[in-house]
Amino acid sequence: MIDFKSTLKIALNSLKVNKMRSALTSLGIIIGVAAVIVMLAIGEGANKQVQANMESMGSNLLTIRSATAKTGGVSMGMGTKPTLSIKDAEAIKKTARGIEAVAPLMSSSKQVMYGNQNWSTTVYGITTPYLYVKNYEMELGRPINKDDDNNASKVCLIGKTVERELFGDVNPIDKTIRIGNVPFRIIGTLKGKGQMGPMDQDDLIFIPLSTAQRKVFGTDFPGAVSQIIVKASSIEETNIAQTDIKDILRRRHNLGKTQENDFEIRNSAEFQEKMKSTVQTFAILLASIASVSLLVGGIGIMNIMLVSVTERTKEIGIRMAIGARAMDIRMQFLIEALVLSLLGGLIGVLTGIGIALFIGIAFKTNVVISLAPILLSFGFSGLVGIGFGYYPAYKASLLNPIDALRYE
Amino acid sequence: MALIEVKNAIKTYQMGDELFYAMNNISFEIEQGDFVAIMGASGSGKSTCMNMLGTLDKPNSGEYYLDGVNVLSLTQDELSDIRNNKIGFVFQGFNLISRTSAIDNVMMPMIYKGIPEEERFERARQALKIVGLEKKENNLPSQMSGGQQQRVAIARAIVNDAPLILADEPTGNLDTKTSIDVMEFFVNLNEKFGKTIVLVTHEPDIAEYTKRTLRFKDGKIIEDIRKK
Repeated sequence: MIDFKSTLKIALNSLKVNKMRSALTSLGIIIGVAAVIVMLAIGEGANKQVQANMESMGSNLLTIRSATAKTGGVSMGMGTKPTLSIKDAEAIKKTARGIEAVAPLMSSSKQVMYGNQNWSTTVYGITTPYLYVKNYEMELGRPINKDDDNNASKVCLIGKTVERELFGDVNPIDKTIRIGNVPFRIIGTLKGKGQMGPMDQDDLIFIPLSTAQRKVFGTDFPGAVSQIIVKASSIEETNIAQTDIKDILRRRHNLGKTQENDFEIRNSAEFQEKMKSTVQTFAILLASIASVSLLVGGIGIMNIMLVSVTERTKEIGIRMAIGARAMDIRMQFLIEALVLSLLGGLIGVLTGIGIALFIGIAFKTNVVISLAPILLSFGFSGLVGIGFGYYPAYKASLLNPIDALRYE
Repeated sequence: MALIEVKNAIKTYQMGDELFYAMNNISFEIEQGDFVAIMGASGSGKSTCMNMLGTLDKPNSGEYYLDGVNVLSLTQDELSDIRNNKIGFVFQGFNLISRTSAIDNVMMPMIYKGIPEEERFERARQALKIVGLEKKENNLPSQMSGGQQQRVAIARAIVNDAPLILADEPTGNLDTKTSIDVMEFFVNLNEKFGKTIVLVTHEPDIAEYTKRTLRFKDGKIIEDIRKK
């Protein structure tokens, strides 16, 4: 048995002798590994993007809306019949289990004006917990507090988009804008959250809920709210909270056993799970497509190694005649295959990282290059080398030295 | 004790319906330090005998002792070690590994013996010096003449200090003048280094360089002549 270094040297030498062939053989592995890395980077990037979006929407949320109003059998759309009230929110907060915060709100599209600028945006009547529940952070000024709500103060917070459209570079704090015809003083601005799908999460204005009810939206039912958002204390608690909320609301709304709910509860956890699994499926799909190309690369190595064994039959015969054992021959060819695949793997990893970064920049998508897929695909390319190199190596070691020597 | 001892070796091949005797009950001994030519027409069994001596092939029956070792009882790996340590091969077609430098070719048997790299270089250079090719160590076989290639092969055969050198028509592909050069190397190896050499040839003037001639015919030794 000979030492590894010498075998490696022999293998490297014979790869060097056939440079072009070695390069082409490795190309299969290079493409395979690069594909795996790019695909996983894109998949992981999408995953991270979705997670970030989820975070920005707030997590473990239950959104309660009035059920669809039906007028003569025609659905009028979600939340058109005001059945939820601020009292419902208070009851939920008092009695439902597993909840952390309750945020009732009203919202409506309104025209807002500052000076001669005007902008159409969504105005939300909120209470203090809403900012926390939906992960909004203050940039300047102060948030809406209890006093604002109790006094139905005409104060507001504005989102980044509104700030930009109405004020440009001017500091909006303490400026007065008109929502509909009502003047509001700006007490704070919100940090930007960016797009969530087609929705601009910064194109909004927050005012105290009581102000909204009494002075802006003008509802027929005092105390009505269009939504109640409940934050559960953990993802596990969302289901308990959901059940409790349903019971509380059904009781409060005097619904008989046979009557349908006049409200609807949406569980963000379900939605998150769905999104997550969709993204994961997508990532697995990409990775498996890429793995196929890695496998094809491995078969390429086997193919070339088999050709190489046949072509070098005479060399094998000479080596056996001067004292190489079957094991030595096997190791030589196995190491050749392994060097080809690992070298291919290494170049593939670098190429893959390069392409992933390029895609991230060129298409402005989120790509995440993590260590695991790099090690995984590099390790896999090594396995491919051993797996597909073994048969040709074994075949070479079985040659009869006399026949091999006579081979021309 | 003789270096080579062959007793009642029989090797047959099935040729259609007939049984062909490549070696028909052959027995002979070769002493340490001898220089033997094996002669005979093609099909006389001399190549079969050489393959057996080189442990590349086994007879159907009989015994073969090399340096006291019962070769026919050994495993493939043990035979590899025997070829590596006890036997140096020189072939008609040189059989150097192509696209591999002279010195790498010469170092090859030492790699399989597990000799450290530094010593390999040193001994390979020495061997190349013996055959007068110390300046050609980085040449590829394709950049050398037939005579030079055969000398590299001889260097490879002696580099592991094998006591036995088996040469299968070593001058068959060389012109007369180069043949003489090569034969003089063999004589030198035999006389100065005490190597036992067995050489197959069908040229009488090549056989002239040796001390003893075994003539084969139809799988039998028909003549065993000692010269000088």
